[in-house]
Amino acid sequence: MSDVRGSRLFTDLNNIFRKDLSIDEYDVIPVTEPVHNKSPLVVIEHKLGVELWCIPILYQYAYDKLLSWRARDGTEKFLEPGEVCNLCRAVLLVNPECYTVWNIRKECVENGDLTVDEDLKLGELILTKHPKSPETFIHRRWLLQRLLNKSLLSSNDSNHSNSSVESSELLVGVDGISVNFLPTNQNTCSNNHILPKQIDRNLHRTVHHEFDICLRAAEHYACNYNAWSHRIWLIQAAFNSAVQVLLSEFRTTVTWFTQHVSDHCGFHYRQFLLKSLINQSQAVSCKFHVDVNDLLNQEFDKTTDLIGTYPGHEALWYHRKFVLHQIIDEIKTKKDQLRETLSKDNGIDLKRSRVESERQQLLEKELNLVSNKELLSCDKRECELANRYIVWIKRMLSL
Amino acid sequence: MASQMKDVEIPEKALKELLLSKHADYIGAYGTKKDDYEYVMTEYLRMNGIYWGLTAMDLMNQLDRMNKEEVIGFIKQCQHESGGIACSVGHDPHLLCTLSAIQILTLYDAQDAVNTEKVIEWVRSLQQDNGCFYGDKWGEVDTRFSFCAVACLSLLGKLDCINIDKAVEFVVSCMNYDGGFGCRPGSETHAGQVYCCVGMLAITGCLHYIDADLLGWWLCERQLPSGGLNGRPEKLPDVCYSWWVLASLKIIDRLHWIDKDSLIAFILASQDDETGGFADRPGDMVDPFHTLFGLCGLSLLGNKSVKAINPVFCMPEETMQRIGIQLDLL
Repeated sequence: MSDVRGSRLFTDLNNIFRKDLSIDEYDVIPVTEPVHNKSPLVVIEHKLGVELWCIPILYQYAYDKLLSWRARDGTEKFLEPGEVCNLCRAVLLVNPECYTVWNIRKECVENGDLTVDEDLKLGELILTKHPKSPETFIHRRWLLQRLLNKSLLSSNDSNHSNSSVESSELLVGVDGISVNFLPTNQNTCSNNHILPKQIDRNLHRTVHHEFDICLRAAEHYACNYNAWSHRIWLIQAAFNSAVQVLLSEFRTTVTWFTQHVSDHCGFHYRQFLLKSLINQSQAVSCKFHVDVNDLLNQEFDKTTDLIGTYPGHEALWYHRKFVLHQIIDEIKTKKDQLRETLSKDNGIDLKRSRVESERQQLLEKELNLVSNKELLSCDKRECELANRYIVWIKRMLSL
Repeated sequence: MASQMKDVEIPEKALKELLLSKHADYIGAYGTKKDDYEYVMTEYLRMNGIYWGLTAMDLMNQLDRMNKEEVIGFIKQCQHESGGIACSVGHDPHLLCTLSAIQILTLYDAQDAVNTEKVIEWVRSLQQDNGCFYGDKWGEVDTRFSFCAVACLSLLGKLDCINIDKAVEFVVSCMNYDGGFGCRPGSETHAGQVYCCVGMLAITGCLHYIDADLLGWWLCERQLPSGGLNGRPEKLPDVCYSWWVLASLKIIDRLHWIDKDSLIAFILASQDDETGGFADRPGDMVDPFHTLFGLCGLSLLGNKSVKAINPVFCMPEETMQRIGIQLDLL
């Protein structure tokens, strides 16, 4: 009985996806038993609704058939590739953590039975219902890596270039990303990057769309570790942490993080961007005329405003810690450079101690600011967070 | 303006006693309804689930209630030609379930039930030039897999078959300014990943890379007024972090920094006195995962009615002694 219903539901589902190529959301309709004679699968304005009662029936049918086919031991010895893809889709829409089924899709892609674009589209749909699904993001990274490798191969063929940095730079186009820091004086910088020779527009679009997908997932589920670490991966794998992209991301996520003051993942993303920019500070200042110290100071001031406006948010205090830590680190770098470059004349000790006192002064100023602030009397939680921060600064002072 | 804090309140009538026999009954009966939709839905976690259940039973000294032959037979069926072990029959091999399988076999003193040579070779083959590990042949990278790989090889006595220096180098490259670790270089610190990285460094004898005070402080900041621990800033408390956070603190010798009494109260309040088992937090549905980690947390906090747990391998200390693994912790 359930098998017959399962088969019918599966056919209905496939018909829906065949007729409407633009299904962009799905969810469960809380109908616990069949109450009418109509299909429990409803589509309105490209949104798919699935009545609750039919999900176990559909799932069990598709799952059993698929795994029986894969084991080659049951009745399902031969299935058309299209049927396999459809069965996978039915299972994954309900249970996207079933990694073996994603692997079957990978095999379909490798065999040419499924395109990367089609598969990315299924994952995108699944993320509307399961915005933090780890396996969905893992599968997307595999798909995107496949596209990136292909693009590298073809660009290597046409340009005879074997440099991965150079090849990855191909992805940073001038049109696809809202970059406002265009290089102006390339020749003065030793770390000169070559402008895109060949841009795979399709890949370009796909990768940029991936940023939107991450953002949507982050909106749907707060502190979405998988969405944000996927975005970090994207910056590293698709853009080779190119300064242009880092700066663009840094600018475009400002609003987001001022609107999500308790989302530590969002702050961590900015920390990642800042850290990556610091690592390339020479290129940042040479090519884009941006001083990372200015970025750090601006970010520090922003946390002051946000902490004042939204008391009691641990994420904000952690962010402040990070920024202060980096400012101190930059001072330390300055100190190390001094040690290296200056010869042993009488001036060194003086300059070194000046740097050390700069660090000390900064920490003490911060300590006074936080200790004297009236916030210590207003909100219990805020008070606790400020006190933790004070302990942290005192530890920094003692180091 | 008073801030809204993400935490739970422990009800007055919350449980204060450990209901050991209820938990043993709960685990003992789990999985007897194999046609259940829930059971089918969680098949991708079956091997991990069996490990959680059996370890919980062993901690309660009830392992003999489980069907050893059936479990071992099942694991045998899950080993692939490649050597890797899958979550269930007909599924693909993965490091996450391979570690669980090796842990179960070690618990049962039955490692030879599978082809361990092949397991070792398969795990070794997943290491990459930069030291990281793929979770399976498809190439996802995560510090969790670094832990799974070294834990697995250590249990099988073959840690030296990989490039340990490179493996450590990769894990250390995932360390953040707060002393914690994320899933990949540049990723956010997460208590679960911290446990994996600290455990990995413990197994490889490289705990000196850790700033114990700095990391210990971050880990202690996971404790909320309810007594429960979260895994990241501004998240709700969850019983499973009684394992990830506490085990990490134990490894780096900072367990005494936690307020033990309130955490014990939180864990006990997360039991279900009708069904047995622990939930993620008071009032929620129980499951084997949280049941194991609730018991493990209590063990680390000194409860003598459960066996002592090894903070690195999440297996009973007596098992570790039997196979002769003794790690130097901080």
